[in-house]
Amino acid sequence: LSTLVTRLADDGLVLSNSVTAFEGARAAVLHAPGLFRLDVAVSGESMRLVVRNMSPGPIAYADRGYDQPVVLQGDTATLRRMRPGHHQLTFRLLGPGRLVEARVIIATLRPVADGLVRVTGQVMVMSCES
Amino acid sequence: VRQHHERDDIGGLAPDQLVHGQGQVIIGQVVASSLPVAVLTVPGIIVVATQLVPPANMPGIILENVSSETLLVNDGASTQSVEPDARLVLAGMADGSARTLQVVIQDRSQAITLMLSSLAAQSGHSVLGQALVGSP
Repeated sequence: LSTLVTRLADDGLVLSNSVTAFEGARAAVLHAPGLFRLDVAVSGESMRLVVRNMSPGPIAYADRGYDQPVVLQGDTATLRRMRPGHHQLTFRLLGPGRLVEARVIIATLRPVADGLVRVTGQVMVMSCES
Repeated sequence: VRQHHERDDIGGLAPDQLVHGQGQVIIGQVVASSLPVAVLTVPGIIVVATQLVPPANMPGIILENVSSETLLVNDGASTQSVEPDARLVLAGMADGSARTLQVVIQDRSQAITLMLSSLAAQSGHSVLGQALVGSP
């Protein structure tokens, strides 16, 4: 994965990546070594998220289970045809000597009707107190 | 640059009213021309615009910092600072290519992931932009 990584002001990290995947195929989108790997499979209007826990402890996972809205700017009819999607999830797991929280945003788009889906992900990984 | 999105709000909504949960997703698409045209705006933070770059006339990307803080832009090869009211101009994109950028507000724990694609259009070259905006 060619993940982009930047350190945040409060010592957290943000990781970003974007991949093109076939409809229904499982693709790795985000990978934080020693913490987790997040895979996505998009099929029709459904999205399957798989979080592989690579930390030494358990994972506490929260997902609303529903799509979030997408703000369209420009020609909305054209943009709607690309079937944009937006999903969020949060999980906590054991990082190096401390508990960390991962806040994930996943966005999907089908720019061309060719059976391919562009999946873009961002995760902010931050220390949490409890 | 702000031909389509002159205001710092969208549909009368302030930036924080657009946030659902821990962030928001914004998409936009325009046909590139010889003058800068906005692809998408993250209100109060950044305007992403495109302009055809000679001699190949491929769409270049312009990032304009409309916030009051310094932005850090990571393209995977390097990280560049963009001061308030300043612009960062990135090289032209070939049709069918895509580029992912990370934008971080330097003194805040807030990050934006930009995915930009260049597509061949009947009327020229279009640029599709997608912004994943994390809440601080």
